[in-house]
Amino acid sequence: MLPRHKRLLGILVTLIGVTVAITLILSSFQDNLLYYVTPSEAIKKIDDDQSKFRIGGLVEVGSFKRKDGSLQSRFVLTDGIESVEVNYIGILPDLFREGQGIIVTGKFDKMKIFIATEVLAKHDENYMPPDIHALKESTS
Amino acid sequence: MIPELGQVFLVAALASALLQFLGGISSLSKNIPNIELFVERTTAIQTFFLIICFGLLTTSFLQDDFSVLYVASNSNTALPIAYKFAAVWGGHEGSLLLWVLILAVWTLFLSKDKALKSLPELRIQSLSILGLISLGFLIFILYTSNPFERLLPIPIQGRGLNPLLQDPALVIHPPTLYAGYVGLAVPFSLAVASLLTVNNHQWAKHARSWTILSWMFLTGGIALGSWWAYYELGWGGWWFWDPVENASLMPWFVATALMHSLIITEKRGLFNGFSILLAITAFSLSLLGTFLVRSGVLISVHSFASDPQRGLFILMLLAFFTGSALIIYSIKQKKNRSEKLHPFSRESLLLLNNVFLCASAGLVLIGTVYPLILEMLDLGKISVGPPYFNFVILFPFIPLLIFIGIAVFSNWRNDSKNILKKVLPILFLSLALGLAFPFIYGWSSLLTLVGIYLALWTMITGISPLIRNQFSIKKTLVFMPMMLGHIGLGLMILGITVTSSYGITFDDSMSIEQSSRVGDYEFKLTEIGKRNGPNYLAQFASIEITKDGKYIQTVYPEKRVYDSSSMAMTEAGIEANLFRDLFIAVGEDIGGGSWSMHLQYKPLLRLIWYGPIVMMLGGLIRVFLNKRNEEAYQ
Repeated sequence: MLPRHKRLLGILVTLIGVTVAITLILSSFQDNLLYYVTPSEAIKKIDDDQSKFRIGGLVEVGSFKRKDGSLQSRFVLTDGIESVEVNYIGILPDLFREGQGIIVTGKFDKMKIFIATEVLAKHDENYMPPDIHALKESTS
Repeated sequence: MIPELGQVFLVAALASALLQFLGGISSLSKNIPNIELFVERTTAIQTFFLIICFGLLTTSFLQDDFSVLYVASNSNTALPIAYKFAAVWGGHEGSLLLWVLILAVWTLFLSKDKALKSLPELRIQSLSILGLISLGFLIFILYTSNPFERLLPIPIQGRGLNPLLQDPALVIHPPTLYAGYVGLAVPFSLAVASLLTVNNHQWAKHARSWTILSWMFLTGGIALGSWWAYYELGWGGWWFWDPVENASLMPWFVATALMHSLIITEKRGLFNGFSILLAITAFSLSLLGTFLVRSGVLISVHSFASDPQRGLFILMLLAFFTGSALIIYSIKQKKNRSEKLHPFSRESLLLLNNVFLCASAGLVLIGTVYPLILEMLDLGKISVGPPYFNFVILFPFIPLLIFIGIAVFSNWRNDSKNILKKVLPILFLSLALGLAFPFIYGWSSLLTLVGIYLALWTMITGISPLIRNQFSIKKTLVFMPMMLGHIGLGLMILGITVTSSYGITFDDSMSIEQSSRVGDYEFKLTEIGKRNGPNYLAQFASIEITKDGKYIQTVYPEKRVYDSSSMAMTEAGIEANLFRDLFIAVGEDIGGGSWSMHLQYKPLLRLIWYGPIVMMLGGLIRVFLNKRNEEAYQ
């Protein structure tokens, strides 16, 4: 091989490598974007083809249910207009309680129940998902 | 009285910072006698005033002076005294005061750097630029975030410190991290000052130690934060790709690149422009980090009351410093003398890895900032999940780790002869040693094996100078910083790989006298009780850990409710040694006499924090012991 060919081959290989890397990175970026919606917006997505997303809302007072000794819990997430029933298996965060603003990650199952894989309540007792905060201000 | 005095000294510090800047910058165009002494003195005076300011704010905390708004919001009488000190930087205003104080201390130390005195112009201008940075932040403090603001009517009791922050690691985490962030202002100022004055590569020699020093603090700060998150945030993760974590990781990547690029610029006079750009980028990313954490655009442990004005101000400072530095660069930077680079020479390999480090910072930046920009433009709220970061970071890091090992064997200027021959035995050695892991832990995946190989490869190539010199410490002393740096990195990569691949994590419901099995370990709940702490009430569980029927340890995870807030805090029960961490956290009472528990077995987890300690040790040796040594070696 001539040195010129060698160099050409090197550039070609690098280019292909970089292209493949960028494609993979971009697709990973796309796959891991979590959209954040309110319960009202979430209701509209029930029948869509689904990837995971996030819903932020308040835990409806009186909606929390759990069978004794079970890690499975059910509650309703609301923005005052629409509400979504959520099912979660696992430990709830310290700041989880009824009336509190939280974020859940997951997707709807066939029974139109949101199966959460993650429940977040931020580390601030005054925290509220921003949209809910705006909502509260406008209604009160 | 004390807060007013604090105010006065804050203004006085601002005035000295202004003089420090003006004095320096005016000497750029004309020759002013004694200007060097003037800048040096104003630097010292500014630092002195800021120390007094900080002391006065601390006094207000110790006296429980709740007439000061900041004290009332971040402390109360029941707070243990050690945390009253920590509370000084527990909120937004105080932490910014700490920021400028640390900047002033760095500036003072730079002004005492004897070696730099041989380049008076560079010295004056870099002190002047640091004065300008301090000036910007002092205006910011006085304008939007005054820690000495009074509160009327005076409350009887303060609100108390956020319980999350009441922890020994959190007392030192912010100052350490800040020292790292702010320290990057020093290479930044030297780089820009160099452009303005001598405009050659002499700055690199001086910037190196300062870069290494702030890199050490940054490393320590990030590791401390990770350790704290692991045992305090409750759920036993050690890195969450949270935007505030990313905010500290990005400057770390670039500072690491800068540290290595400065070696080439100092030794070979090459890539001067690249080093300057890295210095500018590193400090800009520090400012971006300050913006992300302090502006309230992120809702997290680190952000306090959000005030859009504050965010805007920091963004303006960021735009100003980065923008003007880049403009100066584009005007002043001379074209690098071109030199043919051999692909396997040390300078080429270092350059290559610096590019990979910058790529890492870039990939993290995209994932961190993209959601913020989208939200700002009102295009919807999204977040980028950890899987993105975990996946894309492999692209720059796998080649980076491969080339690290090769670079150790390379020489300056030339393609090193027989580099392959030198490297091959080590390659085979790490492949052989790596095979032990699947035998110990079982098969996981090809990626796991690659991670283990690369970690071992990095460590063994790191130790190689010692082997080559027949284990003579004296002969290898000059390589020690590199060796420790690379060994530390290898340890960390090994820890990350093994923990993520072989760790076990799950939630379980447990009742008294019932056990749960985690890998080879048996966790048995023996008691649930209540206990009173100094300013909290704790519900504790006592958990007996056994392995194959042999008793290991009893741990007491707690759930604390602090008096000052209704918020519950999780204190995990951890049994750790070098080889594995056993972790249990109490969830909640789920009825029927059962409690939800979070259980973990994490092999080699500790290496993730021991690695950075080893790396820092390398930096320490370079800065304090080896400087002369290395010069003698040249």
